[in-house]
Amino acid sequence: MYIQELLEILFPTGLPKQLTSDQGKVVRHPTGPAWILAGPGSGKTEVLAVLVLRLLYVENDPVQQIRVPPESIVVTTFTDKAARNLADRISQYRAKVVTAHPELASIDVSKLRLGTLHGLCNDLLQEFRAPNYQNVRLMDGFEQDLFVHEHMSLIKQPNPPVEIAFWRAFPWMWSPREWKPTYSNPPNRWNSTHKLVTLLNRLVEDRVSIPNLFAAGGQLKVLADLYDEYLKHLDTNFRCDFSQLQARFLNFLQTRLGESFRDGDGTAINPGIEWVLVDEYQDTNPVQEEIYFELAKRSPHNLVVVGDDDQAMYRFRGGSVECMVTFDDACRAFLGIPKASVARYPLVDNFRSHLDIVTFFDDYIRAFPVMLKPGSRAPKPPIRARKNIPQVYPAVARLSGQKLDDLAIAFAEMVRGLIDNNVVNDPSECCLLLKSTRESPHNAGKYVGALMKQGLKVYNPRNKSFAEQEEVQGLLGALLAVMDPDRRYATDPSNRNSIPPDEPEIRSTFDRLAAANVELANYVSRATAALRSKPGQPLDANLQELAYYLISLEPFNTWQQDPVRRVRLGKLTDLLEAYSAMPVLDLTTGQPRTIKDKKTGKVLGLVSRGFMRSSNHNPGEVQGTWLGGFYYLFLGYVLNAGFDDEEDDDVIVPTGMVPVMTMHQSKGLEFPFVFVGHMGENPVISATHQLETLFSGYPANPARTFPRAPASERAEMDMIRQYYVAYSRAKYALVLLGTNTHFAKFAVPLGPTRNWVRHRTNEI
Amino acid sequence: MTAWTNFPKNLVQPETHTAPRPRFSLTSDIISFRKCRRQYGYFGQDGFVAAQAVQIFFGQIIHQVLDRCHRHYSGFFGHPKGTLPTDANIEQYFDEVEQALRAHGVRPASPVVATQAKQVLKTFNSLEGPTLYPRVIDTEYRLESERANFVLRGVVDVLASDDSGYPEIWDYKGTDMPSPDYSRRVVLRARARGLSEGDEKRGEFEREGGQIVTRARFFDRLAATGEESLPCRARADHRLFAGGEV
Repeated sequence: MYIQELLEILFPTGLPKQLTSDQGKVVRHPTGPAWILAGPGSGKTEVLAVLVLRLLYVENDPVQQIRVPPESIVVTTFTDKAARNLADRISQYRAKVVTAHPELASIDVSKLRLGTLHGLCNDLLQEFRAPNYQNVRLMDGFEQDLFVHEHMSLIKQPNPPVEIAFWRAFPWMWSPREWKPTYSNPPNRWNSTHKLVTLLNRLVEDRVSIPNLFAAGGQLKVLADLYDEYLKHLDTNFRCDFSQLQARFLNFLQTRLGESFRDGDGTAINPGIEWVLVDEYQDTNPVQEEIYFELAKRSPHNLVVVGDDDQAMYRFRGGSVECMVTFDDACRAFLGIPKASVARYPLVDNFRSHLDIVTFFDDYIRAFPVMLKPGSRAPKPPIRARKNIPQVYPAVARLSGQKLDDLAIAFAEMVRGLIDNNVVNDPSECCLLLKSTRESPHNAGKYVGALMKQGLKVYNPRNKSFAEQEEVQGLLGALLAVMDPDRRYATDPSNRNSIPPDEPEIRSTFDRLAAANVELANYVSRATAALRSKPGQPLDANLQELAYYLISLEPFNTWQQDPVRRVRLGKLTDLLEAYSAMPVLDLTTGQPRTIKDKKTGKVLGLVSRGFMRSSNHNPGEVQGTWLGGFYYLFLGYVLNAGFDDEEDDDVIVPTGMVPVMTMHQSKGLEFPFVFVGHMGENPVISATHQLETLFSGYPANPARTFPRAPASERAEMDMIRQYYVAYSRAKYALVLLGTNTHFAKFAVPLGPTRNWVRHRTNEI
Repeated sequence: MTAWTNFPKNLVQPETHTAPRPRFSLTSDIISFRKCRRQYGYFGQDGFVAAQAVQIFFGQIIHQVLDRCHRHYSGFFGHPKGTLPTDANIEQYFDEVEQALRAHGVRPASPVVATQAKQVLKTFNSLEGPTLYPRVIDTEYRLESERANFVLRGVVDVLASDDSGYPEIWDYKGTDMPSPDYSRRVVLRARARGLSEGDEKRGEFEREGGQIVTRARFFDRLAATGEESLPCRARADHRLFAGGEV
C-alpha cells in the first residue's frame, strides 16, 4: 500500500477530518531522528497513531519500501491511560485498513511494543529473562519507603551525630516544619526515609556518577556509600524499585542478550527494534533519554520524539525538560549525528481553542525574558488558531472581587448563569483550575462553598489529603476496631511513640460509621468475640482478606459505586497488599524471620506482615508486636505520605458536576470554560531544583550534559509552564479569577509586567 | 448583570467523548468477568489488588520451573540446544525458584505441597517434555483479540504447533492440593480445536493471520444467562480462624 492510499482510507475525501500539511510531513518522515514539537491541541496523538499505521502497512513507496514488523516498533507514552487511548486509536484505524485490504489482517498489531516506559522495561526484562531481573518483586513507592525504613543503616541504626551531619549537607530538602539544620536532634525517621528515597531515586534518574560522588568526599561520599548499601539490600532481598527498573533495563540493553533484542537474532519472533516513538518527551529524565538512544542505536537511528517543552510539568518527579529542549544535542552526543541533520517538525495548528485564547497563551509564554534565553525553549514558530468559533464575545476575560469571598460568589453566579442560560450544556463544561484544590480558605474552600450555595454539585477528588478522606479513615478505623477493639494498645502510654497523632480521629470516623451501619458493627463485634475465644492462634484470614470482608459491608459497599471513592479504596487495598507481602524482620539479627518445620528444621518460608495471631495476654486483640508494627509502619506511613499527589488518571469528570482540579490534573484535558485562580503566586525554588544543580556536577556521561539555568530561573520557568498548561485547556472561554489586589500587583500568572494581563483581557 | 451575560446562548457545541475500551486478559480476567462484571471492574480497572493466598506458591513454581525447562531445551543455561532437562536439573530449578518466591513472602502451604509440586514437575518433564519442547513456538506468548466493546488480551504459557500445523495453547495451572494425576489437575491442555464444553477456561482458538481470534463462547454464554449483572461480593461470614466461623 502506498502512503497516499493509506491516508485516503483513514481520512476519505469529503470528511472534515483531514491531516494538515504539517501533520502529513511527520507521517512521511523518511528515517533517522525526528523532533516533533507539538503545541497544545495540535493533534499529536493522532499523528503518532497514523505514523504507526504507516510503519505497519506502507510498502513500495518512496517514503518506505518495506513494511515494519509490529514487534520492531516501540511506542511509549507517559501514562497507562494514554497508552490505552493510543492503542485504541490504532486498533480503530487498523479496522478501516483491513476492511479495505483484508490481506493485511495478518499483521498482528498486538505485537506492537506499546506502553509506558516502566511497563515496557518490566515486560521486556521478563520476556528476555534478563539475569538482573529474575524473580524480583517490583516495589511501588510505599514498598520502597518501607524497605528503606527497615533496611538502610541511616534510618534503622539511630546515630544522631551521623544523621545530623548528613542532613545538614542537604538543608533545602527540609521545610522548617519538618526539621531545621540548627536542631541538635535528627529529623524523625519517616521524614528521613522519604528524603533518602528521593535521593536514591534521583541518583538513578539524573544519571549521576556514583564513583565521582564517592571521590568528592564529605557527605557526598556518605551518600555514595548509602547508594551502594541500598543496591546490596535490593539484591539480597530480590527487590527492585521503579528507578532501578530503568537502570536495570539500560544495563540489559548493553549486554549481549539486550543487543540481540535490539538488533534481532535473524528469527521472525525477534526481528529487533527498528523504530522508537516517544510521546510526552518533555517529561523524560536523563536515564530514560539514554534508554531511548540505546534502543535507537542501530542505524539509521529511527527515534521519533513528540512533545511540548512548554507543557513540561513533572520536574518534581524527575522529568528534565532540558532533554526535550536539547534533543538535537543529544543526537550528536549519543549517535554522532550533526544537530542540523535532526529532522524538526513543528505542529503549531491548534484545533482546540478560540483565536483570542491561542493568542493569549502563546503571547504569555513568549513574553517572559527568561523564556527567551538560549536553551529555555525548543525552537518553534507561534501557535496558529484553527478552530472556527464565529460568535463575538470576550473569550479571554478576568473576573475580580474586592476579597476572595466576593470573587468566589461572582464566580459561582457566573457558572450558574452559564448553565441556566444554555451557554454551556452541562456543569462539567465549566472547570476551575487551581494550584491546590484543598478545601481550605486560601485554596478551593470558598469557591466550592459558593458553588454549593448556588445549588451546584462539585467534583473535587483532591479536596483533602488521601488519609483525610472518609472512606480511607473508615476502613482503617474498622481494621483497627477488629485488631485493637478497646484501643487498649493505642492508649497505653508505653506505646505512644508508635501511635500516629491522628489515630483517635480514625477511630471516631469508624465509630460514627458503625453507629449508622449495624452490619458493620456486628461484624466487628463477632470478630472480636472470635479473637477472644481463641487466644494465641494464627488467624485464617490475612490482613488484606480482612479488609475485603469489611469492604463488602455497608457503607463501603455503596461507596464503591462512586468512582472517586472506589479508586481510593482500591489504592488502600494496594497499600495493604504491599504491607502484607513485606517479610517480618527479626529484631536481633535484622534478618527476615522464617517458618521452620518443627521436625526437620527445614525453612519453609518467611513470616510476612499480612499474617496475624490473636493475643495471649490481651484476649480479643491481635498480638501486640503485630499491632505495634501496623500502627507505626502502616498507619504512620499512610497518614504522612502525600498520596494525593498521585494521578487519578482513570477517573473521568462526571456529568452534572463542576470539576475543580489542580493544574497538574488538567494536563491532557480540555474544557469549554476554564476558570483559573491563584493569580498571586510567585515561583519558589524547590528541593528538586537544588538537587539538579548539585548532581549536575557529577554526570555519569560527561558527553551528554545540559547547561542548567540558575535554580531561580528554572523555578520561574516551571511556574510559567504550569500556567501555560492551565490557560491552554480552554476551548471557548478562559477566565482569570483574582482579587483586585492580585490584578493590581505583578505576579508570574499575570505576565512579565504589572499591566501585561490588563491589556490582553476583558473585565467581565 | 452578572458575568455570564457576556457570552452568547448555545455557545458550546455538544461533543461526544469515547472512553477507551476495557482490556480483558485471556485467563483470569475472563473468569473474573464471568463471575461478576462489577467485581472485574474493581480488580481489573480501579486499582484493587486481590488478596494474596498461599496457593499462589503452586502456580508460581510450576510456571517458573517449566519456563526454565523450555529455556533449557532452547539452549540456555549452558546446555546444548535440544537437551531435555534431567530430574537433577528440575531439582536445581525448583530450588532456585523456591528461594526467590520465599523472598516475596510466597510459600507452600506445607512441605507436602512442595514435594508434590516437585514430583509433578518431574513427571511432566519426562512424560510431556520429549514431545512438547520440540514443538514450542514461544513461551509467555502475547495474544489479542479485538471485540466491539472490549479488547481481549493476554499471555499464554506456551504456544506450540500441533502435528497438522494448528497452534496449540498450553496453560499451566496449579492448585495447592494437586492430584498426582498431573494431566487432569495441574496442567490444562487446551487444544486448538475440538475442545469439550464445560470448562470455562477452554475456548476455541483459531489462527487468523498473525492473530489468535478467540471465539467468544464465554461471552455468548454470559450474554445468554445474564450472569454478569448478578451481584457478587466477598462474603463477610468468611472464617477468621481455621475451624471457627465469625
